Amino acid sequence: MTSLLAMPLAAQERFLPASSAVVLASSVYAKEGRLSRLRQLDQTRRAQPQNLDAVLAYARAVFTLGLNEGDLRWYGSAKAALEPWLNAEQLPAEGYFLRGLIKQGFHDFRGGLADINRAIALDAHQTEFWSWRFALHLLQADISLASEDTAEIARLFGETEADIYRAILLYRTGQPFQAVQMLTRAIRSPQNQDVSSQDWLSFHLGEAHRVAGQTEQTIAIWEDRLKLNGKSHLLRLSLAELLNQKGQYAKAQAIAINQTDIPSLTDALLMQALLASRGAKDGREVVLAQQMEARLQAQALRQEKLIERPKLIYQIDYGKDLAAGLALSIENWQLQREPADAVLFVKAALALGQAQAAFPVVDWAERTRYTDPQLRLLIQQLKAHPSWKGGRP
Amino acid sequence: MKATLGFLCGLLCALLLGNVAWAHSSSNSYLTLSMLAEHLTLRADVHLRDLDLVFDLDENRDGQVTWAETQSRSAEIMSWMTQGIVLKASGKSCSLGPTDLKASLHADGTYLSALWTPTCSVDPKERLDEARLSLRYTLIFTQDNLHRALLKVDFSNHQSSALLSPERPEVDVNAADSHPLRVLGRYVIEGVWHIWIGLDHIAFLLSLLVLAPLESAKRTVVHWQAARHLRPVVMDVLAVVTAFTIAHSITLALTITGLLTPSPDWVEPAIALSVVLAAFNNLLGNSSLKRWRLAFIFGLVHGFGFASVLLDVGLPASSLLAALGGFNLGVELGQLAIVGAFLPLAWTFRKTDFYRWVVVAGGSLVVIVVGLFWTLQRIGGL
Repeated sequence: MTSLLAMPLAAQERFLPASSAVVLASSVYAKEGRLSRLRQLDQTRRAQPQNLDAVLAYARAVFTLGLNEGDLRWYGSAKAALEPWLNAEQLPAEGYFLRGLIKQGFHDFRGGLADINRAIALDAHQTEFWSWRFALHLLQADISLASEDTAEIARLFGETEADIYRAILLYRTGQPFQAVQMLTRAIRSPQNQDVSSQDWLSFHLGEAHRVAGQTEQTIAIWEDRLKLNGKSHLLRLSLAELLNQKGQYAKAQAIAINQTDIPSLTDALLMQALLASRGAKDGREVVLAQQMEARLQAQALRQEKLIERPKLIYQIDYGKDLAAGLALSIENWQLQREPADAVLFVKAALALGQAQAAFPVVDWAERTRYTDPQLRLLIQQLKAHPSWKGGRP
Repeated sequence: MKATLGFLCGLLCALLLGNVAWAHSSSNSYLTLSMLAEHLTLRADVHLRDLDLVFDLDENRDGQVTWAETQSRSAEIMSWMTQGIVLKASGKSCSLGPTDLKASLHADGTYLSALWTPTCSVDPKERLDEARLSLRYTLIFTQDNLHRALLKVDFSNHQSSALLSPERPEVDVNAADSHPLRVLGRYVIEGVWHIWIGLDHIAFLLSLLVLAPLESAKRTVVHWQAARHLRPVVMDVLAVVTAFTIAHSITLALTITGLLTPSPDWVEPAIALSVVLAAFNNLLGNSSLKRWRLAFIFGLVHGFGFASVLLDVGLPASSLLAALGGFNLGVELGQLAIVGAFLPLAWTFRKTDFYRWVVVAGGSLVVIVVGLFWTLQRIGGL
């Protein structure tokens, strides 16, 4: 029997709820707009578990749910459905594509890209294949390959489509004002008026404003969009993070919790609620911190190597364990280079007086030319720190 | 916008992959096997969300699941649970008995909590908490590949925990296994095994030992004379092995205790590079570095590699010292076995051209090539 170094969690009290008590606030099959569809896809898949078409339809549905709801458990469902084909060498383009998405979802970016490339080789005329390839190149800070993807998208799908990609590249490479204009045009386009497109474009427009230092516009755009579609986890989380950053703790907490019971909160929103509570000194900090601690303890018992951003925030922003946070940041940076991770990395290095440790962030920012007001200030502090020597550590 | 929707999903990943993929904990069940007043009890807490995924509990389709809706499916749920959780004592299945279904609140929501008082038939002379028990758990894995069960064993003479997964759905629970001597023995074997299957460690060690039966001279290594006396050869070998042992013990202990947390991204390539340098050093002839110094410096790096293996194997909190000591001892025994096999052969053939040209020079060149291949492979260059 394998024993673990970590202490097991304390047992929870058992109780008998009243018959009418709600024990699950939102059934997995009964989310808005998919009352019968997911049930139907699941039933078809269960009836024919070896039917690849049925499995792919289910896997796509649950993967999309995971993406929209920020719930990793749906990725687990997609992976379980595709289990017989996880090592298959002969798949249709859709099979390679979904398998690639699952791989990248668990940080196997190289494997994910390889499968997406196979999908493109079989069917180059699917925009989403290209968009994910672009996304993964950007995630790994490979601006040159992301630019090549943009050119290919323009060639295959037209300039209007490619312009949105260009806008993203612009605000990720130090040119946010031009990106704001391009994204504003895209968001007003009659082609982009469906709910999902408006959610994603609002997110990126807000991000471009934030990178340009126009955080009031960002907050306004995200708040307006959340009023229209309160279910967007991405916008809710991004807004809560920004409000916390700006010291608007009461608003941040209202956005993070939003009439949801605390146990139903995602880890990321719970973390933002905790930071907001500490900032607002509203007396809920202890309870929220206990919840977060219990979740991280359960995650630790799983012995997984996935690095979780809520954990990084807990260790660095919340200050639970700065040294562990810096070590985790160094490890995480080798996998993915995202602005949010960059900020946490530099904060930990500064707090510990080990400015030189964050050299890879400075190097990345100089190479990609990415900057935003928060990171710019942190990098200035880093370079002014006595422990900063420049060059690799 | 159909095409663009796909693009937008991609961008979401590009910019907030972390926030999306890591926004919610993975799914866990909590199992507790305990002994209360001579009675075995088994408790399984399963998230209602996971149960809903399997049973589609929302009967009235109002989007919520109530306790009444859960209870109305209790017969199916109990049958499902008792099929997916199998407890055995000394190889024979235990009867779980009646299921007591309640709820429990965890940090991420409400769980269904099932409690059993299993009956197991064991030898009358054997105490149940000392019998060899095994637990198999297969619930939810086919619905969620990331689902895990976290088992806590709480006997008066034995406390431990374990992780059950689709790849490893069964664990043995045996109080005797936690005795420090058993732990020591188990980790000695792990240590020996790791050295014997670790080609990089063997190549490094042999590269450091291959010159021992020759007398250094101001000539190329293929012209060195064979050693005339055994004693300095043995002392040289002992110096190398001791330096390597001291060095890797230091970093192994520092890593296991959490004082150092090196990234495997540089540890593994550095181990491969140490193999290259050790072999290259042999070809430098008289200008080569003292081999015990190399053994010490690179032993520090190899210690990080050993720690990574040990952490992967898992460490018992209650017998940490026994496990750490056992693993280290196993590594030493594994090394000594290699030295014991190599040194008599090297001593026997030290006077031959074959030894100097093929074993020393040729072998070192081969190790350099293989080591370079490993280095490139581990930094992702291949």
